[in-house]
Amino acid sequence: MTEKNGKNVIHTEHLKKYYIMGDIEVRALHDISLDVNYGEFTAIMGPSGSGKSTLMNILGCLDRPTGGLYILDGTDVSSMDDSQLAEVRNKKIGFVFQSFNLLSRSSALENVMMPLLYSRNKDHAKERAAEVLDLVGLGSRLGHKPKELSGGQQQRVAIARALINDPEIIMADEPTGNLDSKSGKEIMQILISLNQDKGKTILMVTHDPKIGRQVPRVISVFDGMIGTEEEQEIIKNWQNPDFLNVSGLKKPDSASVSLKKEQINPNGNGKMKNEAKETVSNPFSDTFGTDDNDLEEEEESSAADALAEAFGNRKKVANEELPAGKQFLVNPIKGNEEGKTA
Amino acid sequence: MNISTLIIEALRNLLSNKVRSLLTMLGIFIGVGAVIAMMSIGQGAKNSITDQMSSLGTQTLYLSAGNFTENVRNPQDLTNSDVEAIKTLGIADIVAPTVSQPFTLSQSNGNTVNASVTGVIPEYLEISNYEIESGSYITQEQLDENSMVVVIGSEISDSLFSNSNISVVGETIRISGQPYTVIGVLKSKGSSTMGTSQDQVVFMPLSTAQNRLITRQRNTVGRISINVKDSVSLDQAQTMIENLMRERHGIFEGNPDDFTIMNTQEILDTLNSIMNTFVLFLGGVAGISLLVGGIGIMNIMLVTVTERTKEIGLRKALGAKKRDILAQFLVESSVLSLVGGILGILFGLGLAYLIAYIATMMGTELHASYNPLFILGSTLFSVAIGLFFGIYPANQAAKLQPVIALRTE
Repeated sequence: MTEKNGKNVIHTEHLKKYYIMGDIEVRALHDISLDVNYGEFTAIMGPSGSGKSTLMNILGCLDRPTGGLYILDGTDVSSMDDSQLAEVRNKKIGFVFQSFNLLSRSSALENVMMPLLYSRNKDHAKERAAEVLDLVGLGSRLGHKPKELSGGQQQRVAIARALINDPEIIMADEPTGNLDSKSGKEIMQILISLNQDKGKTILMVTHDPKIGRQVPRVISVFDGMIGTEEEQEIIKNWQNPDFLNVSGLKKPDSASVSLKKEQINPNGNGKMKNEAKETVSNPFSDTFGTDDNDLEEEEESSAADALAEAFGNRKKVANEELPAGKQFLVNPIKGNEEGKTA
Repeated sequence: MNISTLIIEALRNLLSNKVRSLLTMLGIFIGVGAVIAMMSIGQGAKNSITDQMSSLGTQTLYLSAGNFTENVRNPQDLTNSDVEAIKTLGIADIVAPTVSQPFTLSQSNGNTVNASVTGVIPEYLEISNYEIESGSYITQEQLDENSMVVVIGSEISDSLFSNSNISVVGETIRISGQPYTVIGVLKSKGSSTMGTSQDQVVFMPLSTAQNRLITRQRNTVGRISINVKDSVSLDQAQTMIENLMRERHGIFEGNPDDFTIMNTQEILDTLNSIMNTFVLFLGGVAGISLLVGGIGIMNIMLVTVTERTKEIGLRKALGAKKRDILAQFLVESSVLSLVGGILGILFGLGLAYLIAYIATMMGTELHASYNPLFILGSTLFSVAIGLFFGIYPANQAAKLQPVIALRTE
């Protein structure tokens, strides 16, 4: 971590985002105050419609809050105009999207170079692009078009693109969401190594509680607000927050059962995985197709494996590093952690 | 983003959708092509008219009896003495009186043709810009002797003497029953821009015409062509002749002239302005198709923007500002119309030359002509069309919110 402007890369106070839909005011975000330190690996979790995407958009300077303060890397971005925001996005933020968002007409190298088109610093564009592609392990595929690359490779191109301008923070929106388990794991390993070896701050939105469990810090979002500590705990242990939100009412028993099981068996990844499969496939079978769910479960767990490997032994340390005394900050992986370290 | 990157990007986008780009270009292509073809043809026609006019000599005045614009009581004819009086003014190189009347010409093989027979003096050849194909022109001697000789245009020659292998010179034709010897055939001048043939003429000595053929009033001349000296301005000469003729014809102050003086420069100017209007009119009509082509571009660009909403969102997320997106789409539409325009220019010129060729083959002398400035103008104009019709779609793209654009599938 080199020169930093201010204490936190992200500092927000009472962020609000209201929409007017017809006559109704929709409070997509309500009073979000949070800090993200330099070099942190953070996940935002929450059920569908909780406002986590809205939060991510605002943190990513793609959208402006209705009210509140947002300081990114020492600059107040909450009152910037469109073109200033564009510059901030270009310089300070690297985006990784769920659906990769590569230009199909352009080669990997050109895709990676794209942010430089809009940047003042265009020196050695090709060399820099080749370098970051090499960093994500695609040094030999510079000229390939996206459709000639696998999903995992495409996402790695996207990561390289996020890195080209050496941003302060990488924002990844479900980066493994469209990938098979092996690729998902690879992508997660790349993100982890960026965080651990290069000291990049990473903010990631995820659906998957298994991933959430392994990330040092989770910010949970419920109904447009940061979850309380208990809620944070629950969201981390949910098998599938979306499921609970949508069909939890129908199947309250199985949902609570699965929660319990999780809490009782906090450690042992392999074991937990098996149990997770059982408990999840059960309620899902009523609402959706079973086959898909099994598959999805397996995929996502692999990305979580990568996280577990990376952060499993660092959790205590990571915990201490976090600034204490902020009510909205959650001790990462509290439940699991205590079980493991005991 | 610099302009070359933008152009390369635009070309790539256009190439990724070849058929669509081609069809869109077709609108501009046809539009520009039509404008260029029309203007080139118009310009060519204008050039040939002005050429013909100036071949009559811009230093020439034509004096004829009667007033075409005002009623004059008892207009007097122009006479040989008028001609002499003008000569004594000393402002003209050549004063060439002519008299003409239509007659039926016949030949011993039974062929007949109707033509205007004109009595001329030897100098008239120079003023009228004819050349001799075979034989000779009327001489001063023949004029003095009232010789029964004629010089005929190539078309008259063709209609009277069907066997073109025989030399026409020396043959006899009959005009109003009188035998005349053909002493010369004129080189073909083609049809005039007004559509009348310039090869359907018959010239004979003025004296012969006045004394033997057109004998209404022996001293009368129909028209006097006056080739003014270079040292005298045309306007000055016109005023002098006007004053002289008024005096000779005894016209009181305030009464209109009983004669008309045509000034070739004036005619040329009038014709020029008529032709300019004509060319602009043609161009304007063709310009409508250009407008339609431009609307086609706008339409396609709107579709493109909708199709590439996600790409726009991505670019914005990666730091593209409004003006970057605006520039990207404007360059794309300009490149589209520029390429269409350049191809259209080539097509239009080709078409113009083809039309001119066909017209010439069919007997109407016509040369396509273009102005390099005009080509440059059309090129710039097609870029302008692309820009103009690209503004709305590009603006639609630029004002997309990145969040919404990214969310769009």
